Amino acid sequence: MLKKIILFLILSAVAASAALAQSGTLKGKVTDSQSGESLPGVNIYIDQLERGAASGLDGDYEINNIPYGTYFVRISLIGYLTIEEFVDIDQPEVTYNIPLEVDVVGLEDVVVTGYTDISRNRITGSLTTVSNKDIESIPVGSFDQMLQGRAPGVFISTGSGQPGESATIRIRGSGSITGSNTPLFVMDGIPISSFDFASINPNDIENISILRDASATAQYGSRGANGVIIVTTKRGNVMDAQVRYTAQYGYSEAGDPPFDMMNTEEKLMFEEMIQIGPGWATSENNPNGDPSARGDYLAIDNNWADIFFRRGYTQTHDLSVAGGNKAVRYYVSGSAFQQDGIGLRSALERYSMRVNIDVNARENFDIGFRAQGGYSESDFIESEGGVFLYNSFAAAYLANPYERLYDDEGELATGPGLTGANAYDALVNDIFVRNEIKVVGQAYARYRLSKFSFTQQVSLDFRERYFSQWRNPLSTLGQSTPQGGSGSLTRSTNRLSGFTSNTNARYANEFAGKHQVDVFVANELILNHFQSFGFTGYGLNPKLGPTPASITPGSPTNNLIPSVGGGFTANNLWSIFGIFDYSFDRKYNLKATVRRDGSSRFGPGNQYAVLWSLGSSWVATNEDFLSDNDILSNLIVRLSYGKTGNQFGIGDYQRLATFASTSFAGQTAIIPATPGNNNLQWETAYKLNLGFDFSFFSDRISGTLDLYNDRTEDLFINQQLSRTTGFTSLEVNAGSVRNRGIEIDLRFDVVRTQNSLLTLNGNYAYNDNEIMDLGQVDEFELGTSIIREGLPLGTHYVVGWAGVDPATGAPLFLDQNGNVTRTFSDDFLVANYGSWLPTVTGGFGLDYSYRNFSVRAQFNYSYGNNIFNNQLYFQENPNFGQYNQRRVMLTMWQNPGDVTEIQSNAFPRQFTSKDIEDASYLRLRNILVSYTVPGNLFRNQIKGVRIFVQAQNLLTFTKFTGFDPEDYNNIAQYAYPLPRIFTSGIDINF
Amino acid sequence: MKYIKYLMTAVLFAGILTSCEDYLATTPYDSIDATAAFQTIQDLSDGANGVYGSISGQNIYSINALMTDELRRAPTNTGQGMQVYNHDIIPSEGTVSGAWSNAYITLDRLNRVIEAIDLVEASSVDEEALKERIRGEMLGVRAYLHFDLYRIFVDYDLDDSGLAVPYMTASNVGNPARDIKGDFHTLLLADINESINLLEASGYFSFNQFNYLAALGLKARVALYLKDWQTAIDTASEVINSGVSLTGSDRYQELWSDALQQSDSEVLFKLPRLTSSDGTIALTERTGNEDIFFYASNKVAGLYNQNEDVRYDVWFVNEGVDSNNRPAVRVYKYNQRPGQKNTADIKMMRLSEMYLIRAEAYANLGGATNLSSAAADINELRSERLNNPAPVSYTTTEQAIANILEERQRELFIEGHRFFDLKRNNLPIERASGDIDGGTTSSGLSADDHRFVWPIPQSEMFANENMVQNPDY
Repeated sequence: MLKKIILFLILSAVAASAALAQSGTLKGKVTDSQSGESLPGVNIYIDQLERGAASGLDGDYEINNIPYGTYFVRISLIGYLTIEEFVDIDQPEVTYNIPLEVDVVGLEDVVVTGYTDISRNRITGSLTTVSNKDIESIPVGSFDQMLQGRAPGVFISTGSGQPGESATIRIRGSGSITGSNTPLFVMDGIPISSFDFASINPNDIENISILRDASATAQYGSRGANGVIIVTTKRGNVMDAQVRYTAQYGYSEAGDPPFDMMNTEEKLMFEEMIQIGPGWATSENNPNGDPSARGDYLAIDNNWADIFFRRGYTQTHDLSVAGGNKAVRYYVSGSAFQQDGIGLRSALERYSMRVNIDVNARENFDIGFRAQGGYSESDFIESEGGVFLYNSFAAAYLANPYERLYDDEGELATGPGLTGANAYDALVNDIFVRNEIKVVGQAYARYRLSKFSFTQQVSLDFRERYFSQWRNPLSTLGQSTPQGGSGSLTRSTNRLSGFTSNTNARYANEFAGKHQVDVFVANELILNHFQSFGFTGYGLNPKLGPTPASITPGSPTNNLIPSVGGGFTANNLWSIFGIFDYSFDRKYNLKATVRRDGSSRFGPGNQYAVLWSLGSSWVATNEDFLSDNDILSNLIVRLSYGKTGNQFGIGDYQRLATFASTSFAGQTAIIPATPGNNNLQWETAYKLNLGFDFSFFSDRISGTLDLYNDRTEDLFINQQLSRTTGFTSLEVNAGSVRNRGIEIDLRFDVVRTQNSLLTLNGNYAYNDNEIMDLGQVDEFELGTSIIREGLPLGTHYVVGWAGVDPATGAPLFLDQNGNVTRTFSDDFLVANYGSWLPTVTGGFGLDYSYRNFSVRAQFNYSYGNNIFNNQLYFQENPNFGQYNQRRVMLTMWQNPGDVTEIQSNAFPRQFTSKDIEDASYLRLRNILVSYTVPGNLFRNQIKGVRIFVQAQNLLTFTKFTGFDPEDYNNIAQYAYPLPRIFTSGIDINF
Repeated sequence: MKYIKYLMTAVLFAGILTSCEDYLATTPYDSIDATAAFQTIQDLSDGANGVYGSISGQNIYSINALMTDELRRAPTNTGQGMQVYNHDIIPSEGTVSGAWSNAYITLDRLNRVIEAIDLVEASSVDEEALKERIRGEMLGVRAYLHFDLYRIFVDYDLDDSGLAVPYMTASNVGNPARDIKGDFHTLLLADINESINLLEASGYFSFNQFNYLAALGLKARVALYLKDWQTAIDTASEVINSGVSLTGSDRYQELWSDALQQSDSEVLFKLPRLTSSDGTIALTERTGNEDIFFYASNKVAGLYNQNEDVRYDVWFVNEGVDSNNRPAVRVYKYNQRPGQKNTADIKMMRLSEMYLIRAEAYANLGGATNLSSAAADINELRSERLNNPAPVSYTTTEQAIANILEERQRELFIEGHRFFDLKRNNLPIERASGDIDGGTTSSGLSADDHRFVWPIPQSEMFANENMVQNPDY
């Protein structure tokens, strides 16, 4: 083997030196691909040689003295699509004629619209395409975050800063109350889960299409109501292998929290005020106090946030090879990502690979295979996102500054009430990990027959997660395990497998040069299986590591019987559908979609839903009366209406009344599990959309404007039942929710010269959400929210705060009529304090490049969202004085006449409007500066090098006083705060 | 070649037209279709187990302990139980809705079992007997749980037209209205009496299931609340004379660690908790890190003769003072099993309660003979609990009742009685000043306070248009 390699290297060297000996000329003519006219002033540039030429008046060009070899040639002219092509100089004179296509902001390019693709000016629906340039090489563990602020009407809330956690994504607001509002994710035709979506290697992505209205989403029928996000991965082209390596290094760190906690001196003072804890026990005012001990406490002043947070390091490596010939095209990539979270212990390591192969097996017969495999290991913070003492983000602020981490013997100072050391002990001595294996694969065979093509495609979305939670038998939590007091080990796996088979036929034809017809019909079967298994064992032998071997077997007397659990559930969807596109004279487009979905989730009679849409568009600028104007370069008007459905967010067997098997006193027991509703059926959404795509001044300014009105009906609602029925609620279809709004996306090329380009982009989306109807009732409470007709979803339902009575220190509230009262009552709950769902979202940014430098900055913003800050409730609460409090608590009412916002500790602290905070924000999501090293390096072995530095979440402007305004639900309670990430990287093309 | 084209085209078109309807008929693996739930005697027995497993039991402990003077807040309490403890009783409060939901959901489960009994064929005499025993148990539990609801959500005025709560005799999807007390009492007593008959006939006794003695004990308990003193005396006597005896002080710890065999135990009916995974009683402390939520109130701790009373010895540990320098008496009543923190069988009824019921009934009847019978019962109980107890004797009904209530407070500490005992006797809740710290905002309730009758939960009011709220909520 080694001999062969050496021989190969020698031969390569000989070939290379032979090539250097000869040189040739590259020449040709540049023309407009449509009109055929010659194009002068076109730049033809050869990267490796750092030289090129411009075309003359007749469009001709010539570059001399090119050593034999393969060159990467770039042909560019403002207003035309740049061509980048490999050209072989293997004879003295090589002719390369270049037809350039007009760049009408990608108007002519083909857009993936789901099952089919179509040229952009035939689109009738509302969709946004995000290209790989905007998202690649951003160093976050979860790819979905990169879309923030990129597309109008797409609201993305990161939620947890745990590396790799998926974000919450909403397209055009929330249309379902208890069902799912998560869009459908499709990768290369395979429906994938939102978790899979989050963990895609961004460098593998060619582009992403976001489908919003009925015309665009109806092809997905019952899965399209929440919008669809379509990911297309890269494929090889007919060219020599292009090898690309990208690496990044950097770190992440926590931002400063927007609140101040007390130090030891202040906390002891506060404890004296409320007469509890060491502050009171060592107070001179306390008749039973021991003031001499105060010094011991004052000697310690721990900032627990410094102990629980850290600077986390990040690195990524990506390697990809793409290429192909006429018969086989390939794209192969591998990637490694490693990120330590800003919270101690939390981390993510992920390895992924992808193979995309397309084979033209015979004339008219193609086969192909796409697969993505990944493995990841995550270390988690316990109970993150909850007010728990073992959530280190909570402990960081609840622990008292006078608590110690280590005692005099150097042991962790754990014990009852010692929040800081207890949480630290659990964090560093216990283990909570998740490993995940993920495979998404697809194979297809396509047979082409004249205007027809037939495709059979099968795909698999497989994910297996393995959890391990180890309570170290020597840690505080391990020793307080009720079963045996010697730790516990939980291992569990869950497996999600989705199989999709799609059989389809496609017909495309053009008649008389004016009638373009495309028909697509398909039969699709989707099977989803979910199974899980797990156990917890007790009585761990402390001499062993975190292994099942350390578990003491259970017996009837030792109370160490391990618990075992698991289950299996499945749902299937069978569909037949057709997509019909017709265009007349490249001016008038019509699209009709019909899909009949059958779901196993519904009972007989309700299993099938026929969903449909009609869309039309008019390319106004192709009309004669507009084709010659200089201002308006493009105008398309779109109108669509349709009915889509939703079946996500309900259980797989809600149609059935069931009993569950359980146990009582060691014996089998059965209990009713679900009431069952055989009448349950689909949520349906009726969607109307009017859109405009426009561009001015040779496309210097371009954009889209969409107006929509979506109405979701037959919502899944948990109708409350009298408890005498044996159940708390029944899933029924009732009521409707409306989302209507406006979306604007603009792009402006401010500077467009040969050396520099400055582009500004911005998008804005306003969404008005309103509950129109709730069926049998007008309103019901959902947690701390009220679901009420006429209000938006997520509306907070609280009693108004009216300050503190200076006379008594009592908290004052507002009654239902807005009058100030001393009484706190559920009768005073009002819906006056907004919703946690934003009304306005969007983003803006700039791209600037000057020669080899470029700068990109992207902001995103959210307005109108109000979040219940549960942290405030715990950190400004005199009833929780045994935990550390915000500094502002020192202004607590103490004497008659004190005017303050902090009530006396003599009264219970209630949850009021005081705890609802405006969480609107503006955030500098990403800023990236890069430099492309000119020319070739290392004797042409390296074709291009780009180096870059970037920062994530550098700046945030908000009034919110919790960790992060981007909370994924209505309550902020010590969720993992979003880090700032700084990285530098290099991108090398071989 | 041409034929291959047509063949492939035909095959692919056939693929498009294939029906996959069969895939839409899925059946659950993890649950049982309700129509197939009850088919055998074993299913009935599994259903009955499901009913026992649904009963909370400790809801009643919490309500009585938190509302009254049994506990005092510990400095390490971060809000656990504090809303009830501070008497902030509102319809949306979790303990209120928990008590209601748990009882009614269990009642529905139980009614489903009762309804299934007649649908399942017995194939032998033994199976027929088992069916009737299950019926007796279910009817008894039905009465027991309805009476618990009554104790919490209904006032104890003896007016037949007053509102009780719905008495559920069938599994129904509907919005029942509150039964009037007269009807409620009739249904309650009918269930108890039928349960007594069926369980007596079964000849089976297990203190882990509702049984003949529990049915009699329930009848005595109900009679005490309804002030039917003679029935209370007669039925309590039946239990006392049944052969079960009070557990002596030498084996008293084993009573609470659940180590006693049935024949040695004074427990009449309990819900077994084999391991902590069956549920822990974390009323006074966190099971995990042992953060104390409540200490025994110093008022209650002071009621015991601490050196002589086995109850104090087993249930309490004097831990000196807490961080506020107040005496700290930690509760171990339900924390007696080695290696199983806060895990204990839920005692639903014990023999000692029968002595206390009978004594209180005698005391209410009054007269020298009855008062001396009352004193005899109390002395009998005390002789098993204390070394060298000083005998009590009563001269007036008032004195007797006060003394019996004090004994109840000692004997039935955090066992689900104190709040109802005060409510029954129209007495206020009074916490001692030494038991009130900065986090405690209520020192008690006057006897006429509306919060002695808990509100119908918000969730029920919301779902059930026929439900009527209690006064002043």
